[in-house]
Amino acid sequence: MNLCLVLKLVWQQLRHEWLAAACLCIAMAAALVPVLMILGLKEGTVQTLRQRLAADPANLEIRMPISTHISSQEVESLRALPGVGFCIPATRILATSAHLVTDSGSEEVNLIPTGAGDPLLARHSLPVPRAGEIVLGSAIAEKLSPEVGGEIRLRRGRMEGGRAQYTEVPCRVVGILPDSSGVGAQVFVPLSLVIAVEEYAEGARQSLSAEGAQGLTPPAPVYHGMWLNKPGLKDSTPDYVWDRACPFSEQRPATEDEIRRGMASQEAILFFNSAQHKAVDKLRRAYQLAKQNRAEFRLWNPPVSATRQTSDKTETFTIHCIPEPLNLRAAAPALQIRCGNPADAGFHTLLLAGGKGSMRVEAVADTSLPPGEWTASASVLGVLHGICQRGLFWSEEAGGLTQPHRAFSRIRLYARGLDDVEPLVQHITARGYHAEGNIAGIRRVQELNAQLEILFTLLAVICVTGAAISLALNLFNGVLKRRRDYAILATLGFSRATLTCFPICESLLLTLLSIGLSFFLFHGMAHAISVLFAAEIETGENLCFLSPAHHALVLGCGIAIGLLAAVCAAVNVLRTQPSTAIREM
Amino acid sequence: MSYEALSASTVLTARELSRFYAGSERSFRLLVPELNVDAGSVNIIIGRSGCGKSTLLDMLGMISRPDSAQSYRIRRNPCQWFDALRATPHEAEHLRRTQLGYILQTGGLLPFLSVEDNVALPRQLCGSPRDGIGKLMERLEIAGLSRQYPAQLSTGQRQRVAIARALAAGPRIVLADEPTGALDPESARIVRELLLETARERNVAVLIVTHDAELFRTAADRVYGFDIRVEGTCVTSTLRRESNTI
Repeated sequence: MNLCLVLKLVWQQLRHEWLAAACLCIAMAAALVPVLMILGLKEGTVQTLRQRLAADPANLEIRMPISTHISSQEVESLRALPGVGFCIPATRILATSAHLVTDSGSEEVNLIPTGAGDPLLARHSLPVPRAGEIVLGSAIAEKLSPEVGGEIRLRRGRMEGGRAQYTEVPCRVVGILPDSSGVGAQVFVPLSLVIAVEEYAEGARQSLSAEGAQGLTPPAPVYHGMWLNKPGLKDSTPDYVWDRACPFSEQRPATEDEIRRGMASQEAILFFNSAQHKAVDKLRRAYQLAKQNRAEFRLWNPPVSATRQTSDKTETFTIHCIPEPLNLRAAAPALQIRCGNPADAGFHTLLLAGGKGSMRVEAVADTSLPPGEWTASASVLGVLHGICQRGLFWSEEAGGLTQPHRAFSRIRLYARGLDDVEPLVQHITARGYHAEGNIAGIRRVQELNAQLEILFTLLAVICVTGAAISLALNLFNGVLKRRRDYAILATLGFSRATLTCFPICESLLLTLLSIGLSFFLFHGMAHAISVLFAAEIETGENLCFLSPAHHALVLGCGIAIGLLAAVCAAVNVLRTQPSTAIREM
Repeated sequence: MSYEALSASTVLTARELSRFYAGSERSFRLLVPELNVDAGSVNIIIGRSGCGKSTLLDMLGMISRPDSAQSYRIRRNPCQWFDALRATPHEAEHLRRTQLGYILQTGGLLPFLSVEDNVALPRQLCGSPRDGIGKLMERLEIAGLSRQYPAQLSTGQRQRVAIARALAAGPRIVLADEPTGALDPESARIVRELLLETARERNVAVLIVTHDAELFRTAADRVYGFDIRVEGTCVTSTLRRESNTI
């Protein structure tokens, strides 16, 4: 079969009857262009709505409004979820407040941790701040009038031992978010600085360091209970007064062992919480109540198990509590413990509570203690409990404590696309967190898309049917008109198979020409719509457009319809007897 | 029945071909007891309308098949015959391309091709170069019309183009169906001369179906006519060889 010859003859045939071919192409395009326009407008409208939704990172954000406890490993596992675009942990909201100070004044701000891929910064093409750098929200920038590239001081205060303290760190402004970002009194800084601010606020750090490489100081002591040596005090105090004063819910008398060790007197009562500890500030009212009733007040902590590694052995022992009076203005306690065996005196790095933390302490020999006995004041034990609770470990390199497995209270999480928001919210909720996203807004667009899809499908079916019938009938008519031509070709020795290729090639050529003309007209109209509605649309948006996939789909459908019509016409060619057709004049 | 002995120059031989058409009121049967065509010979088949001339030509051109036949062979080369009755469609198409030329009453030209393209088409179909058609077109005095389309030509010019196309691929046999039927006497004479001269020059056998016996009889090597017999509603038309003289 000489397909090139067939194509050439079909082309000559169409060129010879160009007017009829043009009429057919225009008729086909007239049916197809409205389909393309409706599809283009539907795609363009839905795409514009989606673009606008997706352009605002707030719609991609998955909010976790309730503070929770998220480990570093959990953060990593959330970050690895499919559909997550950006994920960074954040500290407690109270610990993120700080002040920005310039020569012209100071403003309170909230610190937002950021990192590579932050959609809020990416949307406005702002750089991601590195250590020592900061990006400001519009409201702050308006009040402090800093310049990009200029320096600003970040200040954080705290109460330490009843005294106000603050520390500052210089930051270079690398970007200012515009008003449209919706970011007001917030600044974007590296996660390390946000963590450092929280650690400073908690007293775990002496100053802010943008790098966050310095070792942490031991946390403030916490207390699990208090001794009162007046047994009837609770009963003689009105309940509402007692409930306000005493932060502990459980009580018990002193044990014989405690009496023997001199930790409590015979009549002393221990008020305690077995699972909860309190900072010293929470004990102020209880202390005042005891003082008013001339009761002796002693702080208490449960014993801590400690393991120390010597050159030849590993020794585990228990450090018992020596209750001590409350001193609200006391500085951080010196980390000293007492040992009954003088040979144990010296500095030791102790692994605490079976590995929950570790600390370097100084052991001082106390001959009043039996050998092998270890004790520490309630405040020192309180520090050790705090270390275990926060998972701090002593690091010789940092010269202080480090927190290898830090837990976070919140997380900033953004979906990669609009369609990822709902599955991510469901996934995160299934993990036991409270998560929210702009699911309703996204659903509205999806529903609009679905409704437009139905409308489009109905209209497309009508138009495509019209186009298909038009093509099929025209081809049929063409074949009937050319029956004699085909018969002559048969007398010249063209095979039946080759002859059936004529309507197929003709149909394909006409279909391609029609679709080409339709695309040309469609793009012209789409451009006109863009120009007419230029005021309504933003840069990069397109009210009427078709993706390459849609172009391919239309082309594929057109060719399929053309082939179907051609096959019907080809059957007619096969049925025609050349001997009768050549004499039809 | 005894048949004529075949000579070395015979290029087409058919025996006992039969074709039957059943109509609503009448039926028609065409019988061809014997037909032999020699290379370079002019053979005319004379008959009035409806006697089966075109049916016979279509069978010989393998456009339609006989209902029954003893033999129908076309010489492929001096020592090989082609059995047209047992030919596959592909073989029949190949034979039509290479061995047969066809001339229809009004030329049978393709309206969308120029004169030159019409004449060159059989050569293109055989995969032969187009340039061999120049001399042929000059001989048939249509070289000046090469860029014209059939619709722009007179009937006589169209017939000359049809003759050129029938001879373009170098066939052994040309089948012509009323080649002068639509022409005035003068044009008919010119076309006849051109057809017969060109065929003779190329040693091509010509089989002409015509109702104009006088125009071709003098030039014919063999003349055939039809015996018509009516039995009830069945008309039987039998091919019969006639004498060349009037």
